[in-house]
Amino acid sequence: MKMKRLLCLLPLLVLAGCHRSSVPQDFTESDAAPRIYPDYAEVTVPPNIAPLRFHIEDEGEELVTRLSAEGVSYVFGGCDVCPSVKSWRKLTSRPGDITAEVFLRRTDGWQRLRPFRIHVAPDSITPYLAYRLIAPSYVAYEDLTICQRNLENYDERVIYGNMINSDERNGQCINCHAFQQYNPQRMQFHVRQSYGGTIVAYDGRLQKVDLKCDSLLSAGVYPAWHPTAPLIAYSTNLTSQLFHTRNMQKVEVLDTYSDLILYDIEQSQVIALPRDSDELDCFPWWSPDGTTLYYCAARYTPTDSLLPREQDMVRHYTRLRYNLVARSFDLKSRTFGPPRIVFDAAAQGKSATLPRLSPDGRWLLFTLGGHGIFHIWHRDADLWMMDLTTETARALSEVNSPQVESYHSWSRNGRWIVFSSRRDDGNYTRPFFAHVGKDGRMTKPFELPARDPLYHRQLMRSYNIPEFIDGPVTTSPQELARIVRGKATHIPLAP
Amino acid sequence: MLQNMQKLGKRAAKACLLPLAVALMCTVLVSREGDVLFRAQELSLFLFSRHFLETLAIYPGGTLSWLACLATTCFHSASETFLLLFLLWWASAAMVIRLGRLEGWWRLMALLVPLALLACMAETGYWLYYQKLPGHMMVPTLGVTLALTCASVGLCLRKQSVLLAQVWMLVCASVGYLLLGAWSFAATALMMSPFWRDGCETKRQSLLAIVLGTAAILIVPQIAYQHVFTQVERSQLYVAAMPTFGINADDFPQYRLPYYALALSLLLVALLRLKPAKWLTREWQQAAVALACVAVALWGVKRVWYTDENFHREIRQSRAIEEGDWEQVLRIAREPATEGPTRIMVMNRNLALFRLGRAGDEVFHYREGDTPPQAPWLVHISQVNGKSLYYHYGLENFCYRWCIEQGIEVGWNVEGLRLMVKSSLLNGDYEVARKYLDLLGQTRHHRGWARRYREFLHQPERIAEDAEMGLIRRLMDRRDRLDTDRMQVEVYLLDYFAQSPHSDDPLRQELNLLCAMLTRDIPSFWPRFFDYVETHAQSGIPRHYQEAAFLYGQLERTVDTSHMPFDPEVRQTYEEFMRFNDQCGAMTLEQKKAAFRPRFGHTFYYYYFLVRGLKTA
Repeated sequence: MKMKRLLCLLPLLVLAGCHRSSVPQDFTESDAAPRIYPDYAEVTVPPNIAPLRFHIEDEGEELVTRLSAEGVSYVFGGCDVCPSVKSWRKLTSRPGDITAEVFLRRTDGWQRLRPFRIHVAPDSITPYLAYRLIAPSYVAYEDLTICQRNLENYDERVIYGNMINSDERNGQCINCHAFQQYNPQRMQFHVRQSYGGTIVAYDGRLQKVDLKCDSLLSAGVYPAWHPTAPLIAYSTNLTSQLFHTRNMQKVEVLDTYSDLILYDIEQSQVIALPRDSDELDCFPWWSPDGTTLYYCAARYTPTDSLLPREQDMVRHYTRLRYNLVARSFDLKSRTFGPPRIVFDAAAQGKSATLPRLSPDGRWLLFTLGGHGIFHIWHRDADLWMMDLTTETARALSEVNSPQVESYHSWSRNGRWIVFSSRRDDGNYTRPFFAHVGKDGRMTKPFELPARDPLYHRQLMRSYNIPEFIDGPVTTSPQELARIVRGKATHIPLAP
Repeated sequence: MLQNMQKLGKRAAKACLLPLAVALMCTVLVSREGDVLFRAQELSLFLFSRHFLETLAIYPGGTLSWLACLATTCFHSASETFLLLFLLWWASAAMVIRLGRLEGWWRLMALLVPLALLACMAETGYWLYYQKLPGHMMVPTLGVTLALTCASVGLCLRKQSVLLAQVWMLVCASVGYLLLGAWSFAATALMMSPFWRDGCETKRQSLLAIVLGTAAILIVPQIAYQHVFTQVERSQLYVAAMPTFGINADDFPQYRLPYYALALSLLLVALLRLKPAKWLTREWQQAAVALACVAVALWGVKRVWYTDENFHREIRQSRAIEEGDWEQVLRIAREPATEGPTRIMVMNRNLALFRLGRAGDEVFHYREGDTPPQAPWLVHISQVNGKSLYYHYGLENFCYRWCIEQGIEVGWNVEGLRLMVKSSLLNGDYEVARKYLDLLGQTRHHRGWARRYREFLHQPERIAEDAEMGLIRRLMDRRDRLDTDRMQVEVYLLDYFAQSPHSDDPLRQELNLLCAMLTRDIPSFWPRFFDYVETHAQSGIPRHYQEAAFLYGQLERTVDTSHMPFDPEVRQTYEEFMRFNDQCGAMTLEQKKAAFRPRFGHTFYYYYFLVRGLKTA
């Protein structure tokens, strides 16, 4: 008897499972905009981006959302709007607008909240993004991964994770992944502490090198691949950090000394740039033609010669301001010209870091904050851009937020930027993308889409150094781990 | 009829013996370690989300850890803990009996497995704060129960088809490794055991099972390393999902003893499947061996059971602090003890006295001490309750920092998330507080707490009205400076407040004065004493502050104390102290301490002259 009852219920269950939400016929118009997370209202997206899934935070007895573009529309029930890759491709097949309508049923009937649009740009985005996932820690670290994400769907894979070569006795920090011209076959990243060294992949050749020399401050730190030649410019840094007792920014990272070096992969040698002990140089970046090296530089003269430099700096850390500087570079002789200031941030009482040039060489994107070098911990840090043809710079108010905006990079076609922002919660960094118009105007940025719309609210790690790449890194983490375990080749300093 | 009844009674007694023994073990554990289990639950995290499972599943045995985290949530209630452990341990023992075909006195041997599991839990101690394996307290119990379940299914299948059993064994070795980590080896080893051939298999089939099982145990982790897991160190492959007992460069193998005992007890079970040897055919012989094994196991459990009284007191104090029951913190501090308090207990007690407004009168009425925590490594206050102390003293950035550092090192946990919510609310960092509240909203027992605190997001002005946070807000500095505590929480807190500039808030004035007094820093003391006197003169100056002022007035003539209206007892006690000191002139410091304590142990004079060289970490 029981079995029979169950069999009778089965079709009902199947029907319930197959129930598809439908848009209500009768509804009233509401002027209220739907509250959605991530905020994808009125953003501009590339046609090849993964579906923008979002969560509706408005409460009601029932929720129905319709996404429609020219000739196609899809309806979703519930508070999570999760279009499939296939349906999203149809929605984004042509440049134009996707209209999102949210219908909300409350006790007094259905309401249609104010529709919003998602603009589909004609320009596609470089398909892969590499980043490091790291908990926003201060001193401790445990599980760090350099990952790659296919931006056209949700596939995320580990390029290298530190735990594969770490145990309780031998901890390992990994950082500063960088690629030559979006090429996943030409990559470098650093390993610190256990099995320390720099891993360089160059067209299938994997090697571990040790760039530390007695006369250098440190091994290479922040890297910049030359766009064409097998060269990597690095800063060398002596870094310290202290904690704010009250300020919400919590931590201040300072370079007590920093210089620049050049690693010549082919010649297997390190070239030190001429240095000035009162100048702090950091965050190198090449012009697209490889003839100019941009970086940020600050002058620091100790105020109290009796105090150790670090303590003296701590007293005056808010006065430490970096300008953007450039030096010409001769590839043949591997020599640099004298420095010239490109953007005098200090004159404005500001500090500029992370210069990044657009692929066409016209736009110089950088981060500007009130002081210091490590803007990821500075809430006032914003993105700025300089038009190098007119040498005028402006704050990118269309993409900035009251929270931190920091690390950024350009897509291969120069039509998109990705940048780090802590606008979600002030503490955890997430990648955001914005479209760049020909006139340098940007559109409202959108957060990296995730399979689960609430994923970034649950993720207890930050995205660090988002860098576009043309395709996936194919070397397996296990292979990289083997190289990391191997002995590092010491790279001598050029005479 | 009577005979039947007697037989029935005997059978019932036999059937009840095992569950009764297991119930007794659970009762002992829950009654003795209930506070530790509750704390383990606070220091663990289980979220009802797919993301949480995915986070753990990147390691072999991640699913087992996930289950263990879920099971750890049961430690919130003693009855749930009892029920869960009883069911799992009883099931393990019952499966051991079935697998080993234990009869008569041999059935007692089934208790060895739950006893070893009990030992794994009872030895925890300060590993509570250092163990990195998520759900570590429940992993052994669940690992063994699931391994025994796999083996039981395997043996049942063998009766149907040997081939099917061998396929099942390979499934357990491969899929099992992904889900259970190294615990799947136990299942595979039990299934390939040559001792259980008992007619189902031919010799050849048995040999094949051994070869296949051994090969699977050796090869599966290597394949998984190459193709599945990208975050596992090669040397950890064969101990995946097992607790690690190392801290930085130090390894503490003694904590692995219960795990070796567990392996040994499973091996014994496998051996007992053999027909008893000729010399053990008599019932008394079997009884003697079985009872001896159980007795050794009981002795072993007793040996490894972590019994540091101070550890338990610290844990109970932490819970009382979390509940805002400051009197309970002091009651625990007053409990008679064979050893002096740890610095953690002293700091908890001082916090409670300060919160009750009695520090100035009572801070020296409690026993001082720096008994080190009973652990073979240096236990840092920052890693135990430093976060909570920073929170309660209004150093919210430092509280947040240590929550993050510890969350990264030993895993996110309920206590850390709650403190991050509270410190973020106090800092005005509401969006990140919302993030942590969202996470706590996905927990089993703390969603109500999250709901309550979410209200502060909607009405931040209510933070000032909250009994706990309102008071802490008054302690928070408006000024900012760059600083570091170098992991020395006690020294940092004392110096921070002792060196703090003038404050208008009477509460903060008292804290500054208390810390200046405890650091014995005379130049810091005077300005804070005068600040305090200015606002508290009407309500009377507490005894210890008077003692300090009187003593400093006598020691250094920088401040004229002759016109200060000290209580007569303050002057009188000082004079008695000095007279007694003259009488004890030839004594060593330790002798003086013992001689002075009964009469002067509760005075600042005793603290100033005789409490020296306390070690804090």
